[in-house]
Amino acid sequence: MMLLKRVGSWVRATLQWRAMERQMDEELRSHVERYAEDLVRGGMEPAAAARQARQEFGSVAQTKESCREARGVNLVHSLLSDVRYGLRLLCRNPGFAAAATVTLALGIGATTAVFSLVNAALLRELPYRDPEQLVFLYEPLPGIPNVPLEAWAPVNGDFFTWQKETRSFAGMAMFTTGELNASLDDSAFRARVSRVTADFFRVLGVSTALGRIVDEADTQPGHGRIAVISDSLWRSRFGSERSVLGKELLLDARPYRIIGVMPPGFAFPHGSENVDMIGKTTDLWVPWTMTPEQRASRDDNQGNAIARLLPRVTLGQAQAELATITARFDPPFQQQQHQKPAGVVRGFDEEITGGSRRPLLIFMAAVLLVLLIACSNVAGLALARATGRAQEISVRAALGASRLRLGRQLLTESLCVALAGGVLGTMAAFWIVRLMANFRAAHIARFEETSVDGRVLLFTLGVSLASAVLSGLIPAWSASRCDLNETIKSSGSRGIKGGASRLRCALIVGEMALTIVLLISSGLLMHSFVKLRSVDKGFASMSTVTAGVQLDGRYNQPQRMNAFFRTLLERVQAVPGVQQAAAVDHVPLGGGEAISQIEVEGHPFDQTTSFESRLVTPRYFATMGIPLLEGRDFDDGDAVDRTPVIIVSRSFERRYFPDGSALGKRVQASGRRTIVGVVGDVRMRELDTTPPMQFYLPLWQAPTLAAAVVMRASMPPEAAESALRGLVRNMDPALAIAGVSTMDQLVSDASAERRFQTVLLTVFGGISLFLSLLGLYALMAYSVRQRTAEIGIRMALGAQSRSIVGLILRQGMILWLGGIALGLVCALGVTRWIRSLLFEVQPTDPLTFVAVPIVFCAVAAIACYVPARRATRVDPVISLRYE
Amino acid sequence: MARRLDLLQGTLDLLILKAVSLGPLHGYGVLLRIQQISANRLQIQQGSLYPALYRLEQQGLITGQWGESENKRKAKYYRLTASGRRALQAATEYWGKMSDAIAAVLNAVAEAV
Repeated sequence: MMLLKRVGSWVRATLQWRAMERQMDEELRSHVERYAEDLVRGGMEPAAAARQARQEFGSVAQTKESCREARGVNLVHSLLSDVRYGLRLLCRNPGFAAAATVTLALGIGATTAVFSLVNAALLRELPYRDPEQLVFLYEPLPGIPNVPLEAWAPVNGDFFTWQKETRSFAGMAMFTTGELNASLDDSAFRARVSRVTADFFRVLGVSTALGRIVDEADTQPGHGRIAVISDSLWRSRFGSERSVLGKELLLDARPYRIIGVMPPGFAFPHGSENVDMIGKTTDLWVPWTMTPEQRASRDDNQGNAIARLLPRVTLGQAQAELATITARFDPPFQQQQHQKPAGVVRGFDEEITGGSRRPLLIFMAAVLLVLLIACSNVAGLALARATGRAQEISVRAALGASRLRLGRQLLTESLCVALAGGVLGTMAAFWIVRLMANFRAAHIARFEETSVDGRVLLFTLGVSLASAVLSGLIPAWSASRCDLNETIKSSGSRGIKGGASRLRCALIVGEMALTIVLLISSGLLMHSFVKLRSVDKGFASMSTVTAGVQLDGRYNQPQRMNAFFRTLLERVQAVPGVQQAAAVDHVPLGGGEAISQIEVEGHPFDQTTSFESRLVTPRYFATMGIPLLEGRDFDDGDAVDRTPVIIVSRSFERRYFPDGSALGKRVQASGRRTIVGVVGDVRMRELDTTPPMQFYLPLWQAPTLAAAVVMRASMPPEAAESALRGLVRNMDPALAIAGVSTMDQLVSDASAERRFQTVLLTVFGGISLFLSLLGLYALMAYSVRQRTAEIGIRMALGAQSRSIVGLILRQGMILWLGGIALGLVCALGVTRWIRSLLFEVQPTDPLTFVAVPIVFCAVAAIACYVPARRATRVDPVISLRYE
Repeated sequence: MARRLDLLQGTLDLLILKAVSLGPLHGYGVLLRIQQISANRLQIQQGSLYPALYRLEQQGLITGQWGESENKRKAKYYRLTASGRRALQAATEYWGKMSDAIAAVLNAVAEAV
């Protein structure tokens, strides 16, 4: 009750502040008047009575202040008046206000931008119902290295048994990812198509915006010529017409009827979830029709599997259940195999964002260091300013302002600065987020969804408040400690110099140490990036263009497939400007992968050794600039009915034939093959891993429906692309080319993630270098100003300007050497955390650890030299008068 | 003029409550009444009176109301609330016990110990 009444009174008081102020004035005035009247009645002169009444009453202002405090309205009111006062002071000192605001805006803006990455990747919920229940299912054979978990989709038979018998899952579904030639009104395009089992949409918990989803009946053999399309396809190809339902489009030359349109934003499966898929979105979903034999197959695993856990079932429980089911339905299967397959259950969050967690947290830590530097810089500026304001603060303290009150006033000022910095920083963040999109850092989860949303803005507000406290607390504390008598006696010009300067020095040393840590981190990344760019890729990417061509079911004979690609390559070769052309099933760094186990004759078969394999046409090595080290290239004579041949990589030859040539030796790889050539190793999957052993089969001996054409041409990539497009359309109007890219672009994309990390950390390092040097400069300039008299005396006594410069530089050098030493020690402890981001560079890389301090010394010297020079221009006469 | 006694810490609130309990008073009236009852022996800082009044009002022990005074002047009259009456009673008892105890201590003579 009591509390309620008090709160009520407080609220009323706050609201009726003006009225209460007026009443208080009136009450106090009438008191003084009555007293004066009584004194007059006692026989005093009116004027003297009024004076004595006022005198005996004491300070009206102080009484009012105490009354306000007693009434409890003070907080809001004094905050407002603090804000007003703070703003007025800041306006009077625009230099400080601008420097502090911009500094904080840099820190807050960078922090906000990085947080928006973290927000999109780790915090924002996935756009499915109850996403924490969603999992991927895998069935890896243990002991086979080099194969990503994503490639171990469960075999059909096991999946459908799990689906039937499970009690841990609310639903399971399989889907494929891939591209098909779609054709609509005679224009062909490549569409990303996913074949899905009946429960697919239900497991994800999404439904169509228009029409219906795929159901059980659609997946029966003989049905299934229907499709659900994405919102973006609906917009781009059907003009958002509601009449799209029932329309037909051709997929690989077969008609499909459109039955539904998905809501905007739904494009699952995304590329990052499956190694086979280069793109990021799915345009079309069609039913996956399977015969009972296909459903029961234990060899087929074309699909990936997702499932929804029942509430309160853990990943571990679900995985254990899958193992039990597998063991129950097929004991003999386990006896035949040395290794038994095991179901693995992985959460969506782990699968989709798991890999980005560490780099993102490293960015976050780095950007918080930048923010810390910005805050301490502003604190340093505010300390210098507080020194100049010592007079004002002492007077206010003398007039009865409490320490708390003074501290609060200073904090309010830094709050104003921080909020202004926050607003500016948010605007910067919008801009940075847009800039970041250019880095194509596809490896960061949900990178393309990064945006500044409500949560990010809330975070920014929090960060602004935190920086207000960080940057305002030290000056407020230091001001509240100032010695009244000393300051007023010394007329304020240099009253609290000693204490505050020591604090500022400590701040600057700390800032420089943090800067060194950031610079060394970014230096390590830069060194890694240089190493990565100079790594031997194994192929030449210059002026090479690649594009994918995929045939459809009409090319169901090996001869037809080969004939198509043979003719296409002949025609491409004939295009003026094209020097070489060839085809391969997966281009290096293009995202596709083929891994196999083979047996080398004379060596026991080893299941744990994986090889990267490629199907290539003749002249592929020449086109790609892959060196042919021994033997011969494939030629058009290596056809289906001729001797099966194979070309192996250098590391393959070294491993199996260390003493002699591999030529003429035999291996078992889709039949017994003779090695006819040895080529250099190629980094096919990533730039930063040493490639495994590789081999190549002639594409003419292993016909394929899908291949990438590569051509080395002295023409712009766009011209090459349109020439190729024209040739393909002429040969078959139902086919479309896709994945057009230059090899240079693929190499660039392969290093996009590292480039992004390097640029980000380097920008952070640069900002902090700028800020800490600004801080150092400001401190030195301030110190020179403080020591004007001393310098004047020294010069009057005959000191040379060189010795004055030395004097100031020495003072600065102690600071920056301290900062470097502290920073190096911290960096030694910290850099191992970024080991995972480094490439062929140790966390204690000597080059970086030497170069960074040297560069820092050089720029720090400049930051100190400018104020030192200024010191020498001091005129002794003036400086002495300056006192 | 006889030397006035400075107030002990915390006693001003008690005096105000007592003064107001005898009938509604405005701020200046409270001052006069205390001086009158104490026969001018207590020294009250005029400035410190109002923060105390506002504090008591905020605590709900007294309540203020604007009215007209004898000479047609507007003034804020304070009166005791129910909880103020209880607080006054409790404080009075406490004060009595305390002053007895302290007087006993101060009046002690060597033999009695």
